[in-house]
Amino acid sequence: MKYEDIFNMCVQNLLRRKSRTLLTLLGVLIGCCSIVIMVSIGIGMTQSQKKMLEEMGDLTVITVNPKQGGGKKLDDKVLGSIRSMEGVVGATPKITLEDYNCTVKLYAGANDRYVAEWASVAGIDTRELENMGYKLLAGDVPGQSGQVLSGQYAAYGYSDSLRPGGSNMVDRWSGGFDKNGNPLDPPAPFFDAASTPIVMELETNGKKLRFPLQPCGLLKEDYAKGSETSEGILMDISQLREYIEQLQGSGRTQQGCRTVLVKVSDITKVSQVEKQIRELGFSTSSMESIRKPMEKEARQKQMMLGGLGAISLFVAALGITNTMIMSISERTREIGIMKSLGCCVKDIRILFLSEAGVIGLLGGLVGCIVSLLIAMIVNLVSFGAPPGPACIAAALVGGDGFSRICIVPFWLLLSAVVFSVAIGLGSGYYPANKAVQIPALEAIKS
Amino acid sequence: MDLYPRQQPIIQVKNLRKEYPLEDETVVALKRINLSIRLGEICCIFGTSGSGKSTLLNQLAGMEKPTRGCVYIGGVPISRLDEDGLALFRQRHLGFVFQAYNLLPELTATENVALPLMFRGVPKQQREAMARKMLCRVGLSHRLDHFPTQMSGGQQQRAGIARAFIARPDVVFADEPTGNLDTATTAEIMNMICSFAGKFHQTIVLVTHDPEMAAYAHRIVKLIDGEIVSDELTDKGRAAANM
Repeated sequence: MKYEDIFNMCVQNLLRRKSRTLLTLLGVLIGCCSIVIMVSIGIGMTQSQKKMLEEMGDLTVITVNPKQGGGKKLDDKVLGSIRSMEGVVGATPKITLEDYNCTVKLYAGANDRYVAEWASVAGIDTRELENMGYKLLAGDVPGQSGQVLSGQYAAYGYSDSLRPGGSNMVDRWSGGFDKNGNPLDPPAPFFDAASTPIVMELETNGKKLRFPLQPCGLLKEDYAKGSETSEGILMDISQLREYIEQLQGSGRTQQGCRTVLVKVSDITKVSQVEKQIRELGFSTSSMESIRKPMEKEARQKQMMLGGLGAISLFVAALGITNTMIMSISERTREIGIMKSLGCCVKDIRILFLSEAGVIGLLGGLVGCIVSLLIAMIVNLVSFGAPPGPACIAAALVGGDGFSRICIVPFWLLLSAVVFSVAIGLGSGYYPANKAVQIPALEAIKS
Repeated sequence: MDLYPRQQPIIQVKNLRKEYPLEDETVVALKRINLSIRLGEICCIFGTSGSGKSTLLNQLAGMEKPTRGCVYIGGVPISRLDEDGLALFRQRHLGFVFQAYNLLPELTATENVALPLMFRGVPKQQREAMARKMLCRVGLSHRLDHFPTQMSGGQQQRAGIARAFIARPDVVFADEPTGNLDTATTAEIMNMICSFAGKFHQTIVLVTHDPEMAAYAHRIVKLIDGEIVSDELTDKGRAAANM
């Protein structure tokens, strides 16, 4: 038999019992929809989680510290071996004033009008700034002695000594919050932290020293790299060491540093690099420790949701099998006639398999369209915005500033269709075998 | 179409035995059948119900496997063919006319008649043209696109005959072909079968319990209780043999 004839016959048979075919198809459709929607919710969850983590900080930065209670020192040799690891694109030693028991005050403006009672001050190898993924919101990388970078919100740490207490600071949270918890257009601080000269006053055991500094840029806040990117200042490590030695005497800073920051090229390499560094005898921390369990949880949820969807597709498979068995018992005589007229066993098997497969295929295709619609509606509702063309497009394929609940990637649709066809064929297998076993003799029985 | 020399047996049955095992006994439907049917012969297998005539037809057409013995058609041991071999053999060499007509209800007369050609893989246009020609020859030129339910019994059976002969089979098996028809139509149908068979020198195996059918046959094989009790040529058969 020609495939074209088998196909025509298959369509004819399906159309013959329209309502039965339609109901079976509906089962597959619902099954397919539930899988697609469930998985798309899972994907949406993972995506928004990832977005959230990315907002918190650089996911590919690892912080390396010596092990608690001594252990190996983080010296240049260690730094070199870390830099040579696969996937590492940058590494820098980092020191902070907290490591040296110094207190710090920052002054700005004429006659020290603005005072910051506390600030996080750190030094890194500024040559690695770009490799490490520090982002500048304004200004440039420090090149000269005395130049520093200010944290994104450094200017909000200052109080105005000419105003009475209680109203002498600019509250950057006063503008209210958006739904992600970020401040909504914060009010302008007293001065521009990216360019206003400041004075840093360090104190240890009553000894005070003042260092004039010239901010030359503004860092973007990044928790993975440290609080100095937010409410502090960052300078070259050698410069900070020099200041500390002036205060506490030479030799204090020569024992290696307490922290090394490592930047990895790709998120998938983070855990591998972390493992290698741990093997060198250091302790590490990164967003990976947050990301991993979150990812695991998301995957578990995704599997659970997908499993729920799969159950309904499985039920649909039973529906197909049932329909096929029914139709075969109705057509027993017909099959006998076909056989006695010389229809090959193979053709009968293909005929019944293709009937089941077509139900799966149609169910899958329509299911995909329906689930796209459902996903779109769910997303539109979650946006809360009045639906316009831009909104609808964003609900389907995503867009800047829209976080979708259901994300339906193309591969999901494709695999849903393939899966539905496979389910159809799989559930048609047993009935098709039954059909094949019907003897030609059935044609003669009256 | 003369694949086999005249007067040579086209169907040979050797020591055929068929038993049906029941729960506590075995029913022997065919005891020990030896039979050969010559090319171009119209052979009537005659018997009352329970005589084993239907079982014999099933055996001859390869619908069932024998308990012992073998059926050869054109030298091919069809009792030993597997399902696929049988299907291919049926496509090329066998035709069937059924008592209940057995047209597929969802197909038109033309499509029904074209079925055997479809199983062979003949393209649609070609096979339907042949089917229409065949239907015209059985006098159904006005029923080409009718469905079986829209036709009378006689018309359905004529379509059935067209279907049986369309692929020019060597042997056509007819199982009580007129069992559901009235006398006038019976004559019409039987004359049609005989004329087709004569034209293309095809062999017909006719199974019936109706003694009147014997008038159309060359040879009558009578079965009682699974045994051949008589096997004789009719006048018509003698005339054909002397030709």
